[in-house]
Amino acid sequence: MGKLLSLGTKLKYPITINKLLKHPGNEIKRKEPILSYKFTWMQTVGDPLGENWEEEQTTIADWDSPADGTIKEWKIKEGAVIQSDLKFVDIEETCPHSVQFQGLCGMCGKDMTEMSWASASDDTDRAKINMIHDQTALRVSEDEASRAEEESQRRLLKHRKLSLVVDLDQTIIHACIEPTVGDWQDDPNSPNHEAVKDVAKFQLKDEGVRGLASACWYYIKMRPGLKEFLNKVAEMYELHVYTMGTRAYAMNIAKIVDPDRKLFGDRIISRDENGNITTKSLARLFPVDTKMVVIIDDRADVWPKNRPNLIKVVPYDFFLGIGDINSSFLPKREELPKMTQAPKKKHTKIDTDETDSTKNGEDSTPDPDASKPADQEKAQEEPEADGSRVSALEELVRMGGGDDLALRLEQAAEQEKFLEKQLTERPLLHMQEKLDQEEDDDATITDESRNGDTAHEHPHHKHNLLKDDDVELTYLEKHLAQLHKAFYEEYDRALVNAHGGRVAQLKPGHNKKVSIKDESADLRIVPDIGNVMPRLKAKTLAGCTIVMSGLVPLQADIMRTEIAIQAISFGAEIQTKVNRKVTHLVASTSRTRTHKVRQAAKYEHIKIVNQQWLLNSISKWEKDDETSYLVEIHEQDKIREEGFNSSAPSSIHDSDESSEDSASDEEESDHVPAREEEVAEDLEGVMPEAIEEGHSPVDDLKGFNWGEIDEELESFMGSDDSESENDSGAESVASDISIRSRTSNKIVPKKRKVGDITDDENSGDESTLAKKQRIANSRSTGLKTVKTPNSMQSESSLPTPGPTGDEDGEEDAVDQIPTGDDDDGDDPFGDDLEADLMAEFEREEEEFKDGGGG
Amino acid sequence: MFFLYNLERQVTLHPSYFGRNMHELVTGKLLKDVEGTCTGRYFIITIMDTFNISEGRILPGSGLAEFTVGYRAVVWRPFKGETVDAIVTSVNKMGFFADAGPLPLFVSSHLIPPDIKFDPNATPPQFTNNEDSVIEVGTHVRVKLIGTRAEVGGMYAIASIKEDYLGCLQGS
Repeated sequence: MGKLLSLGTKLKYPITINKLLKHPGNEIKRKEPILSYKFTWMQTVGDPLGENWEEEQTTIADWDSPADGTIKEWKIKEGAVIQSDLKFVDIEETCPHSVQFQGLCGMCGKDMTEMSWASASDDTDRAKINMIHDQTALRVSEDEASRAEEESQRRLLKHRKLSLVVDLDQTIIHACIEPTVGDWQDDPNSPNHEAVKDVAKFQLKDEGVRGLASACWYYIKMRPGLKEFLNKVAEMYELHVYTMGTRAYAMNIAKIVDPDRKLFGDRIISRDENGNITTKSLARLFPVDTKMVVIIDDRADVWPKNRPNLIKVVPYDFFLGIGDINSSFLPKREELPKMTQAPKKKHTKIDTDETDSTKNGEDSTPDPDASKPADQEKAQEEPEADGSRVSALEELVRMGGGDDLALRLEQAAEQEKFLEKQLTERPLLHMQEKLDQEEDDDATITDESRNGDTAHEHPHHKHNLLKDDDVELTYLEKHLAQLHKAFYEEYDRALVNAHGGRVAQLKPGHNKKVSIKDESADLRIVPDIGNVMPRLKAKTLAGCTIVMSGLVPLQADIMRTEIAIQAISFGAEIQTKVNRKVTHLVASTSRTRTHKVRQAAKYEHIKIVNQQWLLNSISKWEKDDETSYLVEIHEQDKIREEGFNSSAPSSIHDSDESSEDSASDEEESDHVPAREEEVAEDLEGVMPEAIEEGHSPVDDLKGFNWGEIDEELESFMGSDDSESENDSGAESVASDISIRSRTSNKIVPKKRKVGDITDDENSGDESTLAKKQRIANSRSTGLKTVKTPNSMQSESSLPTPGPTGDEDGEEDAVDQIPTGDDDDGDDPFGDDLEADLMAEFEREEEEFKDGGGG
Repeated sequence: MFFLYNLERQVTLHPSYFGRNMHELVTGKLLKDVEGTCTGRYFIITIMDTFNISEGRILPGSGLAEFTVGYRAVVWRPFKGETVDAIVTSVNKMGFFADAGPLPLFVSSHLIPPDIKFDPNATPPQFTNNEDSVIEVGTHVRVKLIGTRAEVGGMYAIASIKEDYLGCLQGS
């Protein structure tokens, strides 16, 4: 292994090589001179009289070797003049120092931290990769790492296996420290006894966790079918554990899950060795290549760099509302709301509760969990807990590069807080009590209504809080088997091809060479899981174009939400607006009357399904039959839609017919099939709607009825608060179309305001410039009526259809105001505030204009 | 290598302990403070005896009494080239870790005889030559130190078993 030494930048170039002190084959030691060179420089000399002058000096100096070894070849000759830094000698090092333990070279035992005048670089930098599961002190160099990895890949190929990295919490087990579980376990009368009787427990004597949580019991529920799952999977995969829990915790879990240590062996990595507290990285275990690695985890966001290798598992939530006890320092999970599985009778109650909890969630991030009635307590606690958690997280992130120990202490403290909270608050107990309470209430009511007699026949609870009905692992096993098969099929094909190719090439000559070369060729043709898996997944929802409604907060960029990323990775196409190409509208079960649902109801081919369809399809890796997930469309919506459609032309007032896309497009495209093709070409949805529809924004402007705008402005200027209040009052009468079409002209200003805001949120992906322009357009000031060439230009220079935005917003507004309470959820939080602020802002603007103009 | 070493140390005593058995208390405190620590060059294994406990001097300001204690201790200083016995604590494909008393050491696969190979499929994973040598967690091994390094609170070493009579200890 040769190493080229370079002269370094610190010398005073140009230099002349004076003498080569060593010859090829000579052994050299560290700090030993191997080369002497000379250079000239100017020295300032002075005499006692105070006169200074410069004199040229020539100095001869030695160049000392920074490394041990033997010289292989000189790249320079004696007498050569060298102008700048270059590599000048090739040496064979005695030791490459490629394995280092605590600053010691693992091969020669030398201290790597030692620095001297001769050392060119820090030797500890030569081995930086940490690839051992249970140690952080051992580091290896890149060469060593790839050698080790190649070896293990060969071994896996020989056994026809792959690597599988398994997360613990909420993926294969669910842990909690709620003492109530212990009580239930001991009490055979408890309704939950059946569910918790096989829950394993252990006590953690962990120095890291002090105080109240120090001697608590950890209750571990294994996901149903875990044993069989692991045994089956272990035939195809080499299993690794990668958890955000502490080492002691991970070892204890491993003892429970895998008592013989046959499955995981020593391949367990915990957050103590991870080196990063917010993310996991495959590079920690497989630094060179991750071709043969699959991950199963319940959180996709902790694997930012390894998404193609990840199978996201539906989180196992056995102890309701507990969540992941080891992720208190992670950012909050971004998850789709689960289906509400509440008893039917209590719908009204739940609904009120739901609005409660959403209100509570308002000040923090919108909380999708809020629609889970079982999680209400959790959801209500969250706002306060959230703040501290987020700030702590930031703190941790800031410390990210810093001292490992301090970081770990911080982590431990954070978790301790979390655990103590669980110990003191006993959320499970409360939940069961609440459930019982409701049960009792119900029972009394029904009993009393029947015979007015007592309700003392309920010594036992009928309903149990904890249900043991998870089937995720069966799907998961199927996927893993499928993946394994696909991988090795591809590998075999590649192998045959490679062999065939080479055999054909070398047929006349030496057949022996083939088998020798195979070794290295094998690894190169190994397919990449990162390609195989996405290909498999993408078949699932291929051809589906999905619009989501009520599932992600309006403020969020839908393309960045977890669910959208998931859906896209399964081959679906996500759109933000409902149009012809859309095949599925995924609507939240709790909000079935949103604007998008109504839009989608107009198209017969759009299947309006609830989120469970998407979740199940993703979980099963096959498109589920939609029929059982169809969302019932509110009767009123259907009727309204029809009415809306027929009256659509009348309700369109300005010149903005282009933007009434849904209605007019459908009618028109029936007659003009060519148009549809045009639309279909723009698959990306990059073009603004108006252009998609075949209109250019400039066309709109040409046909723009400026007079009408003037009218509008006048009516707005004249209108005061009382009038607009009247209007909104009239509007709340709502579904009456005639009123709407009558009022629509009058109330334009007000609608504009509301419309703007909702629209802003809708089109988060629009450029800010376009947004500003749109706001400017809708301001309806006199400025707009001035048709200077300038204004025309500025309007048309951007392909953003200003009027379109207006109309869209207006449509929103029209829809929202009448059905106020239903649609509240559609534009969840901060909207009111924003609307107020916007209104205030505009009023001021108006006043300013007023003052300036008049 | 073990040495009997004469050392000296300042021990402070809280005023509430002032009394007849002060010297015993001082000795006790010394044992607690010193035994089992690593100074950076050697480990203090045990204190044989104390002698020459000086008169206490009250430290101005705090009221603590300070004693200068001379003591004799058994210290262990690991040397490069020394042969020690150790117990394996962890085995992985890069080599194995072992503890020689208080000294954690690492034997890399480069310093293991080529016939002893890593077997990741065994439970637990082990280094073995498929004959008499099996190195897994808990095995007693005899190793030769190749290099040592000291930090403030501890020492580390690199060791080798690539020589005669090194490696697995039979019958222990």
